[in-house]
Amino acid sequence: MSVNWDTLRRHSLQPGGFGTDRAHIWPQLLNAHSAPSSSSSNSEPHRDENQISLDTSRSFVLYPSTSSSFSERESLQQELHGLIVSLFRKRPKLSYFQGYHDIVSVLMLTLPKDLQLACLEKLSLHWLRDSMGSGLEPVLGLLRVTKNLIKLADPELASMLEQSTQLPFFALSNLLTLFSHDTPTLPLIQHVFDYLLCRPPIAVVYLATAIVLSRKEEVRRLMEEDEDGMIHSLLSSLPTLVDEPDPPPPIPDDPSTSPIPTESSASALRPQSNGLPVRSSPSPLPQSVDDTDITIVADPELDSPQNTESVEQTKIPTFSPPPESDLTLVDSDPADIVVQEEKDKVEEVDGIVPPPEQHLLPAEKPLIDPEPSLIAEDDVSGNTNGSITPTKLLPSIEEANNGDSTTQLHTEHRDTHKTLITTTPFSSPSPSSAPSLPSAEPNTTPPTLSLPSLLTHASNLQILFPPTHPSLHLSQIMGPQSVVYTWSENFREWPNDNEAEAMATRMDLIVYPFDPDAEDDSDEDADSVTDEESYEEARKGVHGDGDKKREKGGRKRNKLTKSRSWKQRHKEKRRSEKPHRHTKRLGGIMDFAFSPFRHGKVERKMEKRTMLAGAVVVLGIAMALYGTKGGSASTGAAGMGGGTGEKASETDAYYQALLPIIYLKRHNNR
Amino acid sequence: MSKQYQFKLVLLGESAVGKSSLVLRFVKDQFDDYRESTIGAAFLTQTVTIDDQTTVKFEIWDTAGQERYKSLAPMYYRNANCAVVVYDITQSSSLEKARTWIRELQRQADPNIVIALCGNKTDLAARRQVTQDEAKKYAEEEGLMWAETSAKSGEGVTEVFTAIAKKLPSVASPAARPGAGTRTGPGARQGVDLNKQAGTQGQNENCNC
Repeated sequence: MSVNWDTLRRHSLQPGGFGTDRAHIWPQLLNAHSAPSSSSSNSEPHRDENQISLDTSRSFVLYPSTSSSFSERESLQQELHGLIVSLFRKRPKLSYFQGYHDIVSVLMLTLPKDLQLACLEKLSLHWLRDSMGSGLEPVLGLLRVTKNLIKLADPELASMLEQSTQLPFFALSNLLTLFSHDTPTLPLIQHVFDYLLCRPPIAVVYLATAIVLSRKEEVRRLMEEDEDGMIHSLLSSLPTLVDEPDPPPPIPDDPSTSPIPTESSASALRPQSNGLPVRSSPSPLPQSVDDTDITIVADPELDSPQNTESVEQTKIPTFSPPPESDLTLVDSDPADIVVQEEKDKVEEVDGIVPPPEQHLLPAEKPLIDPEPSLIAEDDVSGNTNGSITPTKLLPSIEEANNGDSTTQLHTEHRDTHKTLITTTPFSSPSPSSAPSLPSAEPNTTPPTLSLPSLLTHASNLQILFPPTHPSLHLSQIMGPQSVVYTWSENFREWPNDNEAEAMATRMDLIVYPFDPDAEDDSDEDADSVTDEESYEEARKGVHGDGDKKREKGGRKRNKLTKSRSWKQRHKEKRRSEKPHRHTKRLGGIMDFAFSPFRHGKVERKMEKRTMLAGAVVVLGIAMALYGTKGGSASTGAAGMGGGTGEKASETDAYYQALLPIIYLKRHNNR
Repeated sequence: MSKQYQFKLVLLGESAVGKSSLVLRFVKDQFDDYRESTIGAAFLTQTVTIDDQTTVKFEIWDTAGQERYKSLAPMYYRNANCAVVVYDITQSSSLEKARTWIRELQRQADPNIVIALCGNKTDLAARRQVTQDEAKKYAEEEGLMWAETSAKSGEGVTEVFTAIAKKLPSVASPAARPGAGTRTGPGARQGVDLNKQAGTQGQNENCNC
């Protein structure tokens, strides 16, 4: 049974996620089969069973429903306890962590009974394993990665946060429990799981970061009020989420407003065949067609004097406008290549296989997808445990609607309650205490956030700053036996279940001890060590540890990602850019792209200045030169579309001088 | 002239002894029969009025109880002015755990930290495993404040925090500079029975200085 990852990833971004289908999609994503659990006859109690009891006996607080009766809740708790205990008796090397029970409760409320244990086993062994060893170190490792990612995506926010906390500890619960501890309703957490389960385990870091980025303004306010601890409260609680698209759907009219030249150049540049495994959907819609793609496209643009202010802002520091100068072309392209590089890396590392043309497709109509409506329906009946309906859980409330003109459904509930508890400086109910800070209540009306757009942003973030991004230092933080490295889209590359269980006990191979120097990126001259190399080493480390399959799989994957080797691309990248330059630039863009969570206007403007236009400008000069020197690209646009499969080494020779050509050639090769 | 103090307080103790419930009662005067486990740590604030002139704002870090979260605790107690170490009077093992926390605080935390040992769940006194005498004796030996509470009924909760506020050196010692932490003044290490003291008004009677 093969999983169509791309389709599912797109699907997971839509309102409602997989809807009722998740009951059979999750088991596929987890490679779980309802095997007769014969081997589970081990009845030796697990060392953590006492702790498990302590937690399950106070579980089901948030969902399925706050109104659950006492007896309902008690029987759910018993069922949960039984399920967790069966898992640990079957896999005694794993250790229980507080919060695991929250994850399990989501599975239990979603999946058919006969699949629950099998799914839980796979999830534990191949996703959660890092956290199921003896300590917290692995998740602290992920916090370090999260910190690096925040810094990449929004340096300003990162420095604000660093003033109050060394590591983003507020994200701990989200990383550890896959958001299940804090997400207020079952449909919401199910959708979050839809998103996470069809992505590599590291996706949780991107989602956690996207949430942090979305709360920048609130953080700023608290900073001004000098409320450090409150920042922890703010960021460790989730914003109010609604499983709906952003109010005025900005995307559909965008393509229509995109200039015709874009369309034509897009088709000219679009490779005829990408050599990828068969895609199910005819239009290779990338999982993230909206902002980031357009952002990427627009970013390195060469012409367009009519830039918007905001775009201008983000690009000013890095290059100057004159389009004709060769220098400018050379100057602006590298970043572009880097972005491309990163995408490639995403493919390899995560197996995310974005269609190569994805950033060349501003003219695609991203959201005109057959799926949305279907899913929207699903949404309504989206709970597999039919006891709840979203209408019950998502009462529309006007009072909490802060300024959004559209009627928003709003998830009531414990979240609000919790937010009040943890983020409001409290008025004093107790007799002997008195409110001395009447001023506060800074967060009584937390902004409402669209879950689909949050997920989309997380997904875009992962494309922009893939796990191999040198400044993330992932491979210097997580060890070769972390799920970050052992998970694969290809289930045959997974360690087998027994191996995986044993891996949980090898902390030294899951996460490296903290070495501040290794991760100090302050100078941002990350040229010296790129994460690609270390990533390769990490994989070899796994291999060296006795798993030959892995190495083989790695190679296979490299092959899959077409003609260039990582090293090759990496070389180009090193020559082509100073990492901090694009970092700052992309950082600025992310910053800008994230703040309001809706930016149709900006998109439209940016779209006018697509890279394609720039590419076309270069095309004439570049292809002519290249045609002579490389001798393979025939002519102009035809060459572009044809995909002649140049040997990468050739590019090296001309690279310095012919950056733009190489950039184009990349597409050629695809 | 009114004085306002601000202190950092950390809650420590075994899993499920009622740390979060204690804070919830103190801060919101609420109680949930089901209080979900704390992952990592939670932050809350509450202000208590000592007298007409003096208020103390507590910045409270409520930590997770499971052993595996232990390595995070130093972050929260490192600069804490006071700590409430909670045990469950119905679980004698939880007092053992409290002792290890107290030893750690005595070794690692600020030497001036004010520590209160707190036996929670007095509403379940019928299942009591830890006697008052045992806990009180231990507290006296170690120079800790001690009290029993019920987050469920509210019994003793506010009193614990108020007593801590009064005991904090800069509050207790008029010479200390308001607003800052507790760097001034000697460590107060004298056993105090909060339950006895609760009704009285002597805000300085426990001061060493």
